[in-house]
Amino acid sequence: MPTATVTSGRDITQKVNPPRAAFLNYPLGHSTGKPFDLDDQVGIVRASLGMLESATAGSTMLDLPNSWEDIAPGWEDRAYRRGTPEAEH
Amino acid sequence: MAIDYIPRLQANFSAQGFPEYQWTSNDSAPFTPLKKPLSECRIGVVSSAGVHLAEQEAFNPVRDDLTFREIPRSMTQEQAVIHHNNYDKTDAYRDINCVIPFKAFSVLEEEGFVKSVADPVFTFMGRVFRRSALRNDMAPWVYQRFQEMDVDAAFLIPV
Repeated sequence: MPTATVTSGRDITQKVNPPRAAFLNYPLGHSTGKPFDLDDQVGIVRASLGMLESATAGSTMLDLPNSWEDIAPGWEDRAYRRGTPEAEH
Repeated sequence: MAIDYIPRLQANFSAQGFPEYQWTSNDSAPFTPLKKPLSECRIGVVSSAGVHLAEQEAFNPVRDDLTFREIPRSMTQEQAVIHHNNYDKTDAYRDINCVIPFKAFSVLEEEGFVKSVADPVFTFMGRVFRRSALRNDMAPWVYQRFQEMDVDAAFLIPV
């Protein structure tokens, strides 16, 4: 069955190596968009599902242009470090 | 600039005394083309967000829960319960569309981008370390359900 995925863990997904993946550079817990931002959510899902048609071979990764910087500037430096809540479990 | 999760996760695992994690690494990605235009396709959805309805059995939020929940697309924000200890659920509890884009599905159906999104969607708790069970039991189970629902392609949403 054809599959498309949207991921916020680029290095992990590269190892898993699915046929079609859209990379969304957002913090974990926001795989399909910013809260209460339907335009953002629709754009992400449209781009991800669009790969079902546009990709012509496996291992296709599309880097989405969406940015989380407007919500939390510099968030990448703090994400998933020891001591952050989401990393302690 | 993408976050380097693998070394950060490894550092966290090591700090908790766990052995080095053996990441799945696939050399090839079998490619299955669509058989018809996307606008004529029915899309099945799988999310690893650990979302379920209050009346459904809770997921084991720690690891290795091999079960799925079937979530109606009509699920309201108030009905959404999340059992998953490995991501910040704050925004998903405000707007579940952050992890299961119910509203976006409806928009894309209405504009004809896809023919339909199958109802229900399927959820599980993504921290499954039992690779064989994932491949041999979980994936075939959801594939069978998709076949029964006349799904043409799957949208996979790891969280």
